[in-house]
Amino acid sequence: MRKYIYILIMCLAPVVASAQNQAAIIEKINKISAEMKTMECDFVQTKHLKMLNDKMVSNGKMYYQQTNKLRWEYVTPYAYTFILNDNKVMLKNQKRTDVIDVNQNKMFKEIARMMMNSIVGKCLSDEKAFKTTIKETPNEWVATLIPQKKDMKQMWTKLILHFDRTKNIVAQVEMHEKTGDYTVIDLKNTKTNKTIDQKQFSVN
Amino acid sequence: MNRILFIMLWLLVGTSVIKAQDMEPEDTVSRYSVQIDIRNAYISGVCIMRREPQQVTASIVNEFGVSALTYRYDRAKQKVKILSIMKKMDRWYVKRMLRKDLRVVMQQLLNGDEATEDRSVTYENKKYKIKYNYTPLTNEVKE
Repeated sequence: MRKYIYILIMCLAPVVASAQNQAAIIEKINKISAEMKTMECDFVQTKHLKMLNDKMVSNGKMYYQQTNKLRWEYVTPYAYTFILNDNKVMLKNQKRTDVIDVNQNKMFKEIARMMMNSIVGKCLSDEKAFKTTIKETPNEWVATLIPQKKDMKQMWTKLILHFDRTKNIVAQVEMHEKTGDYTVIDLKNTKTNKTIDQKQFSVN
Repeated sequence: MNRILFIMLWLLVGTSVIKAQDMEPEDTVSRYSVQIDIRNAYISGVCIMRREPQQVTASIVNEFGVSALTYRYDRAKQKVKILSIMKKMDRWYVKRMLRKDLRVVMQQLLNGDEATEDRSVTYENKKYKIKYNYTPLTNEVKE
């Protein structure tokens, strides 16, 4: 009986991929992300606050188009839109709209790059920015990314990307902070390679 | 006479305790949309506030969920203590200014000094030209 339980546990437990296997997984994800011309989905973002023993849930819609277009829009409980279109970023809340040149703002450049690369999984092969380890479960690949750059280290201790193995897409992103707070973003109703109205990426 | 005085005193004390209990906030969590305008820049996000009888703990996070600031307001001492702050803002003069400004903001919020239709509270630090705005979030997302 014990033997069967042990076998069952071994089957269910995430397995750390070997270096060779990890490289193969990253290559596969890179290939998929290269083929992904567009992506759109709904998202649910849950911020867990350790000090308050509480969480904050917000949701919205996301649109991505290769190579440098992203719309990240919060719908509830607040309205906030972040649009990246090449080198321009538009930030819009209920009170004001700002357009920023990412080349003039290093922090925004990092955030925009991190968001884009996390969504499509490109950040796995960014060795300068992250130290990556990948675990395999029957349903997903779980990539843990430890930031290596100073700016990123100040914000996050680690990022965890969950890839749906059947759909070959990112299904969940976790962002962990030094304080013990963390944010989980669940991507739902994902559609890939559908035509997206270019108005979604307008920064004017 | 003594007995009457005692009964009156007891009634008065009893009434004031009941009133204090009525006013005493329970352990509740409220959420605000926050914007802090600093000359040519601004910080926006959400403030999650846990109100307890002795203190209020609040955390300001930006829209993407990155924590900017966590502080605690002591109701009795009417003082703000910064518990954590993002690295870029972690300077003694920034924290001193925030402690002073947030003390006023918290007093306004807890006293219900919201004069506007949307029940928002605004405070301006005229010396450094910094404006704080807290607006209650109403359409909370249910999981």
